[in-house]
Amino acid sequence: MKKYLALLLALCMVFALAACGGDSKEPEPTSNLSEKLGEQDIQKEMQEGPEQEETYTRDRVVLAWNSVTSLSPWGTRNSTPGNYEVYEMLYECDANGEMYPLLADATYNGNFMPGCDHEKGTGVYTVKIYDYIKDHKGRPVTAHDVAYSYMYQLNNESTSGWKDNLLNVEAEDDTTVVFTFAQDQTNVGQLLNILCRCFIVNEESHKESASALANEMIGTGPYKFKSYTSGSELILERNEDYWQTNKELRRQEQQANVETIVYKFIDEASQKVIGLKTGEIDFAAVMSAKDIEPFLDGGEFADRFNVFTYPQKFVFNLAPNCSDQSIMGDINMRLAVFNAIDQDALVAALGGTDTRIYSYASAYYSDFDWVDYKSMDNYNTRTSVDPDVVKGYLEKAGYKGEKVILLSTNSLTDATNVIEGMLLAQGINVEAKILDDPSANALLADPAGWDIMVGMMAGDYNVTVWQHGFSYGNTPTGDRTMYHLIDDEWEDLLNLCISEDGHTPENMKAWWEHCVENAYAMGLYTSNAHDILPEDMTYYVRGDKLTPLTGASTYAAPKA
Amino acid sequence: MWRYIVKRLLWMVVIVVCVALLIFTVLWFVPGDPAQIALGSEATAADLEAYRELLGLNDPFLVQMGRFMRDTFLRLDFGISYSFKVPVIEEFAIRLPRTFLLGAFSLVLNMVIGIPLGILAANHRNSVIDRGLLVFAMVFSSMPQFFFALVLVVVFALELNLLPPFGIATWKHWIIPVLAASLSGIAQIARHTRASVLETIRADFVTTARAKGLEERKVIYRHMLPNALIPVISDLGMHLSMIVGGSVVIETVFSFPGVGLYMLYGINARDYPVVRGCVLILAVFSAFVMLVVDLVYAFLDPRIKAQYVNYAAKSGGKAK
Repeated sequence: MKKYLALLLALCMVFALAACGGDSKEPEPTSNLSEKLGEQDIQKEMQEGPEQEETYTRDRVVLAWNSVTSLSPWGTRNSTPGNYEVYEMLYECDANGEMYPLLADATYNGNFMPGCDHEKGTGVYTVKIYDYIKDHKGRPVTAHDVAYSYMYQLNNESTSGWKDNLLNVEAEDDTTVVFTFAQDQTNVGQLLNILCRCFIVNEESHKESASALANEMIGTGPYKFKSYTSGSELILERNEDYWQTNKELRRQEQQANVETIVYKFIDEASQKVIGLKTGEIDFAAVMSAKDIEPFLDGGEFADRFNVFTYPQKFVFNLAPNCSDQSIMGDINMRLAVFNAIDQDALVAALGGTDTRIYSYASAYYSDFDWVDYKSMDNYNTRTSVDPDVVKGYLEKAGYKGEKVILLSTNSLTDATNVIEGMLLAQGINVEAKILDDPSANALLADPAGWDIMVGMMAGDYNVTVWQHGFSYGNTPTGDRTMYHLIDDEWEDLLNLCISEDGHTPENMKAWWEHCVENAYAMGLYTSNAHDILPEDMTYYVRGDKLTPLTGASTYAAPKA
Repeated sequence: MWRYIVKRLLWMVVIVVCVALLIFTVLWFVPGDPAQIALGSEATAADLEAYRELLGLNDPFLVQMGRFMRDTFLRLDFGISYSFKVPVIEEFAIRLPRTFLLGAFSLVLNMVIGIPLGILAANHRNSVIDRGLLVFAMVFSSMPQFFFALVLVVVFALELNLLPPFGIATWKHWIIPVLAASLSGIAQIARHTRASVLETIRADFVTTARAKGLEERKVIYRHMLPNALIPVISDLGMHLSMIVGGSVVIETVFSFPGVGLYMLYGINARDYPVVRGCVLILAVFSAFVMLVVDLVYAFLDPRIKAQYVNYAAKSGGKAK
């Protein structure tokens, strides 16, 4: 009897394993998936612009979004797109990264830019705002509230690049705000990092809120807060009393074409897919390539959804530890590692939907086309791996099989495993250390703890991506990069590139040439993201950092 | 008996204080910088330093520990979460009832289904029912919870479209998470109940009861069960503690905003107030559950009650 029971159990396990294999179709070859993505007409349709007068007001849109910890308008890195629907800033950036005045008075012809005056050579910038702004409680929002919002964020919340730069913000009168900086804002993206990075809140509304706006939202935007269940959902409703009643001044990003927007907080990707299939949700952002197939043309749910594919701003890269405590301190070892990586094979191994790059720069940013990186002859532009070249560099380095630590984070596990395999195949004794973000950052600070890092970096321009990765200012000592590199000449070149006047193609090229001459870094690929949109969305509006603005998007009326 | 309860409560205070010191020290040594996580990799050194100062992370170890112990035990203030920006106790007050309800419903299912299944299997030993239970127990004890959870979602939400796949808005949203949290518990309770009943069924007093001519139903429920269930009660208490403290998997799969997810956020973000607060409150909860389990033992078995009373008397220096 026991034998039969054991046999039955074994059969059950076998059948269960077989059933876990998924459906009977062969997995989609990666080249087919890439082609399918390229054929999507939705990309073209979404670029043609909206017919605002003809848009239909949708009753409700339900979005799947990763969990947020707080609704606070300031200092939180993981916020919902709802923040951009409810709150507004002095200036905001559109999906192309271009600044436009929002609370700043667009009709005021400032000597610096619309809504803004600036005395050249000083750190003083004066911004004019409209005199008829009001928040969702009906309270007027004046220059005093702008100053309050900025100073609160500066003194009480996490900010990036504000300390020691922004000295004071004060109101001269109800419509004039004076910003005082430590110096003239001449670096690329420096002023954008201030004027486009603070939501404006009425002081009284903020102080009246029991949770200091952590669990509720009181803004000036075209949507207002309805309800919030921590960890579960956020509901916004259209603001019928929106302050900007001048249609000519009201941009597409300020439209409200949906009555109610619901954000469902879902972290599990498979649950998002199930939610789309069952109709619980209408929209999901930043989905991976392997999850979107049922929603592509010809897929089971293609009649209800469209897939919108776009490049993300992350530059995935390889950065060696250039300190003398690491084996990678030797340029020949760095060149051996970089020449051992087959970037095309890496992209193929990761699913084929990412884009291989030829430098530490992404086409996502506006300053990419300034330099023809692909035409340069270096380790980042090769199309195949030559084992003899790798071997030659290893011999020059006197490599005798010492262990090389490859540091990475959990989100880059797949890429790290592929890179580890490539290096092992070339005789480099590499060991991957894949950690969570805090642990990886802690180890990064130890020059003896790692040798090569697989990482990703972003910014507002390619030059700010470089700054985030290689500026001395990102380390406590201020005399080296976060990768323990000391090269004052290169640092001076970077500082030149980051300045408004020095942000030129020639300087960008010189920085990159210096980088490859010394094998300081390697760009691997950039990734594409996929948003799944409801089929009736006719124009998809996105805001700063490609934040989905489903309220501002346009929709077709349901068919009779 | 009251003396015993008071002694246990006093020990609970000592345990909680030790847990507080331990968790603070452990977090001190765990790698990772909350400021770096909050500001991102592109933050400058000046930004990081300023934010650490704001969070009070630059103070020495003993100063930070003293502040934490004073706020926790004298003011019942676990601090304000770095990420959630609301007091830990407030967020906990919202989330704990949900996780506790999840645990309570699972516990009820464990008892209502697991115990009768175990009794049934024990009474039909070596039969098809008994073997079926063993297979069920083995399968559901060894398979991971997230697997069940996803299978239930695919079957009931995706294929049959009967139940919603995530969220907590209505009572229907709770069905699949409770089932997923219960299945392995039901299997284990059923097995333990079966083993315990089998041990009791051979006892002399059961033979005597049958010999007296009592109905089988009365033999089982009046004589056998109170003795057989004592070890099972301990299991149930442990299950409740485990579900409340270890619900991360279920909460992640179903986007169920409970304590498990809250603690997971805290750990990933090195949000020290959240982690400390959650660990302390869960320690108190587990200790309390164990006390309740022991009191239920005493209620069911007078011999155990007498042991407690004698223990308390001896410890108090008075012989009874």
